[in-house]
Amino acid sequence: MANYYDIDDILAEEELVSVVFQKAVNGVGIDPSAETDCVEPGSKVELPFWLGHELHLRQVAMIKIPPCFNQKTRLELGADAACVDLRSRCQYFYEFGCKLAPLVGDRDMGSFLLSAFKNRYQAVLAKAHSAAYAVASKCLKILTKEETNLYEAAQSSMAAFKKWRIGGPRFQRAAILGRKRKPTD
Amino acid sequence: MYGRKACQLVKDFNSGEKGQLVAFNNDLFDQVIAESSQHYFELQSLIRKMQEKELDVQTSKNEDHFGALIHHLALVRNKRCLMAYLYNRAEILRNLIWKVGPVIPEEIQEKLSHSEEEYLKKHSASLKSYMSRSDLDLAVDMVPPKDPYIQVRVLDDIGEGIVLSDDKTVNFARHSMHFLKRTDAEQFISRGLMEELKG
Repeated sequence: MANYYDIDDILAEEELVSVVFQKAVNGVGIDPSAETDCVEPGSKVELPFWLGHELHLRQVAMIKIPPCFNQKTRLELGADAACVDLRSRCQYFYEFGCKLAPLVGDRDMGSFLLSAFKNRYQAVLAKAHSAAYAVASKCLKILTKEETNLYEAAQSSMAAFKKWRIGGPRFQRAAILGRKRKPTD
Repeated sequence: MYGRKACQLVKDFNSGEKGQLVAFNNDLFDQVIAESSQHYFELQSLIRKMQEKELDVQTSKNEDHFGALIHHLALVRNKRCLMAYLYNRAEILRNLIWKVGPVIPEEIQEKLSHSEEEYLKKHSASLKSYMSRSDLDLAVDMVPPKDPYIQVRVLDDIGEGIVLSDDKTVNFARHSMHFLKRTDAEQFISRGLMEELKG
């Protein structure tokens, strides 16, 4: 349960999945298209993953693979992984895919995620260590949250290296205090 | 309902810049707690319905049971989001104490809730008693400096009559330059009130 307090884990589980209810449910207002507080078996509802996951395990509903993992995305990632805009499809692509894989019974999911990550990681690493700011901000827009964390880690290690090499101020304003506005005299 | 407000709360925590605190969102916090009470109320009414139909609550799996399950899951989810919100904010505050010292600047004080201020006070007090018992100031820079004294320029009005560690009173007016012991100057530099002059 090391992820209990982890914000990224919580937000990754909030991604929507489409489920089909197998059994009737009473007293919940989840289904926006139903008129009463009941859900009929066979109705399709969009639920967040944490809810869909539990219902799937108890066989109340069946999860379907969300559109961000469909055939089109797989083909695009196979063609050129580094250019695909994963953030617009799903900001937590890898975490979400890892959680989804055992439920949906898709055996290719694991290897597909791994190969996509490997290809993109190469590109991310190269850009993080060398690129100037203008190029960097363009390519940052297509990275998922996990890749962005890696990118920032690489940037901070480069900054630390430069500081060690050239020597920066020994003691600085604590970063947590934020950017100060210049006081108007 | 159903965890959406709780998700908003967690996103709100992340909405500032990375590692920065945003103001404690009291409204959203109370709304999530109110939603949890509502979920609990609905859960209880569904369980009562099952008991009226004389079904065994533990084993029979009819529609009411599943409805109660969904309310229970939403409750647990709300709890997780609330706890994560508080925990991560507390972690930022603890790091703040180590970086900046027991005196927290005004602009951060206004972002905290009442209980967070209490937490901050108690934490700095226990840190202080620990440091005094082990006779070491643990919050100082770990790398030994080349020179025990440094030259600083004051950026903001700190005030007059500040007593330094060697019992001298100094007047820190803005833009004035001083030659201070490094340990004294460090706490002002990390709060952004002074800057180190080199060369």
